[in-house]
Amino acid sequence: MNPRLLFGAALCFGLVAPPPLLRAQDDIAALEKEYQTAVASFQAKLAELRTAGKSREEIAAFGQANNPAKDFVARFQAGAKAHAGQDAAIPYLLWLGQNAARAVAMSAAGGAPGAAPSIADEAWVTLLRDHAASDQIGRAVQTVGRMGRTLGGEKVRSMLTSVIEKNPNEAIVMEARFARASTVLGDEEASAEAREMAKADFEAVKASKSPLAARAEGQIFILENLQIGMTAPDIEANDLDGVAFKLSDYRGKVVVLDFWGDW
Amino acid sequence: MYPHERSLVKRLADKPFALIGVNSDKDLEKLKPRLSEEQITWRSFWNGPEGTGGPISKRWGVTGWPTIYVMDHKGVIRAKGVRGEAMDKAVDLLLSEMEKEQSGAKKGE
Repeated sequence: MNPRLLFGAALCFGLVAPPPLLRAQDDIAALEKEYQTAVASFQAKLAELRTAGKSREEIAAFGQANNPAKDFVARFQAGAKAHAGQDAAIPYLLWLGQNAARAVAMSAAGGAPGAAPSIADEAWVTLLRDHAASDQIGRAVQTVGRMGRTLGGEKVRSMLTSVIEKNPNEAIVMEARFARASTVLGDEEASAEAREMAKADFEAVKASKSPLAARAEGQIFILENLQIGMTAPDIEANDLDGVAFKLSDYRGKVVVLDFWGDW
Repeated sequence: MYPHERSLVKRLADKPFALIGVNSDKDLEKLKPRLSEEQITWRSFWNGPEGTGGPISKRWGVTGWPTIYVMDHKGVIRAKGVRGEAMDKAVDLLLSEMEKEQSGAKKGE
């Protein structure tokens, strides 16, 4: 028998009260599925118009009028609001952070520029501010940690700092420290203080039981040797014919070092 | 990717410039015929039989391919992650910086 049906029947008889988080996840799964279906049928319609040889203007106009994204953004926002401050809001905010920018950008050239990214940015800010102490915040921490380029390194670091200061879960704190320190690696504008903090973060993760400990050690090498303005560490290895050479053999020339593969 | 790099190497053939690869293919025998097919004339380190898990890319923190580092003539890292036109620009800038520095040094002699 369908377990959902069984659960539903049990609910009718007042036997089980749904745990709030579980129910919220059910709702969001249904909402996400509904969104995927709507996007698929919308894209199919666009493809039909193209096959029918409609003009680019006509197709764009149809896209603007019919894109489902905006409605869904509003629905996910409503979900986040309904559960504001509770763990149940987290998956709604994650969806908004990951999809709002793309969803609304897709909906049109005619949409207000800037509006979409701000919805997504706001979702990330809310997530890390209101849910800093939650043990459900791990995925948000990882994702935000990779967003230094879009949100700005300094902003991402301060968002992660609130998790580091407030979260009682050691594993999550280590994840957040690793993420905070990693933003410095791609950020040419990171201050000297931020770089020092990154070193301390990586050292702490390295000394912890975190599964990231081994990677932290590699990150320390990158932080101290592979940043812009540093002399590149030498490479000594064989070329593809088995002849040994060094990167420093090319001192005196401008060098592009290209990590590549034929795939 | 190859055509862009081929044209960069060709354009700067007379300049103090080198494109150095770090190849992360596991199987060198499979790769070798591809070098002539694609006219890959520039020299590459081999990252070893572990491919993308090899020691050079590991040490350099490479997690995506291709990854680019640009060094000036003193061996200082000056740009990272630049591709296409941005890579060309970074190289041209460093070459002109180097020329200026050297002509300045000659005047000073």
